Amino acid sequence: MNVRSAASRGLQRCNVCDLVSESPPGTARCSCARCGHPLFLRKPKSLQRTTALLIAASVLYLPANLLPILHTRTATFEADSTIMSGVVSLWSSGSWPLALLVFFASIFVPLLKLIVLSGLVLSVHLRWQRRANERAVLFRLVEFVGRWSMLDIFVVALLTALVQIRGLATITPGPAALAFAAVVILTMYAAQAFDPRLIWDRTSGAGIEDRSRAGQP
Amino acid sequence: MPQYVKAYAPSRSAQCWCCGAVVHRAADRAPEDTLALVVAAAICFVLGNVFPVVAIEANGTAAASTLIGAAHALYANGMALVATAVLLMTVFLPAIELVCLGALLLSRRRWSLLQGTLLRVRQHLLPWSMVEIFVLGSVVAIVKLGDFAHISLGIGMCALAAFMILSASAKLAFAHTDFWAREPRA
Repeated sequence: MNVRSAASRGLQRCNVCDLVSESPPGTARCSCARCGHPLFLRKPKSLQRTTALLIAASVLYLPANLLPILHTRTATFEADSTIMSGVVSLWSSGSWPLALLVFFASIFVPLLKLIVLSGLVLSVHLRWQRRANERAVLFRLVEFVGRWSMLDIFVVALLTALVQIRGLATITPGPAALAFAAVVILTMYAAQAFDPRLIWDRTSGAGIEDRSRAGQP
Repeated sequence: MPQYVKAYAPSRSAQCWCCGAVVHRAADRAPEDTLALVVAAAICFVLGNVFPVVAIEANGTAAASTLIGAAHALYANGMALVATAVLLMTVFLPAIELVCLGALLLSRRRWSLLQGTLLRVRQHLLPWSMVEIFVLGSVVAIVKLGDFAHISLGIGMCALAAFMILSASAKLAFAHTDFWAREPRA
């Protein structure tokens, strides 16, 4: 397939309003004539920023899953629950569709994002030629489902707000809530920092000559 | 990669023939209709923020929580950062996003710089406005509490669910590519 990228033809697309304009010669910075957003051939320092955000997120992934996210105290017992034990208790109380939902949103999706984005960054670094199409689809999937991981944080917020009956039952958030929220936000930023066009730059040879201008190593 | 997009029917979208990403999507409503959706969504959003979302009753004690109340509970329990994130994602960013969309639909051709700014702000906010996720989260919370307390849905919950549907259809009805095509710059 003979494919020439817009970058190799000296064209660049505004990331906000989609206006295609000619890129200026050299390293001159310019902004979109229509909406004023800064223009660049590829997102600046995309790989570095994605990698840094991914490392931060994976460091926080462990405390997010191992530390308690909820602390329940009633007249008779006191218990900490992690994300996983929350899923298990939903499952055992018979509401398995919701248990599956929480499992996907809170455990599966964050892990999927970390693995897929790291794989994508690695594949661009190693200049893989194969399966560019599948990698692009994978990236769009990760970008789309990422925000749904915030679900658990909202559940914790609501439970905390509702169950504050003094002496009878109180629910308070645990330290994992902070770590988990950070994981979700950092991985969302990581997905935004990654430029999927880099996947294609390495496959056809098109656009590689623009790498220095796009701020890639 | 550059490619030509042929004439398109309303509510159809064009995909990149190389990677399959949506390159162009046409609006499926007139801007006036979309504006009506935005206004309706704004009313529901205000109601959803004023009235309690969920109420529980156990052993004679009752408690109810609004959207902001949920964020405040986190703040009161030493989770100021998470509380800020929740407040932003469920109250402020959706509100700003909705205002941007309304202003874009109302704006006229001569204000192109303002339109550009509005569009940029809205584009950046879109992934961070999470009302629909909050609604789903409250369903999970209700099921979790269902065993040991009597739960009732508040007016706020119905309003937020309506907001979810209205704002989603407004989002689909608005396509900025059509918007530029309609009002070309000299």
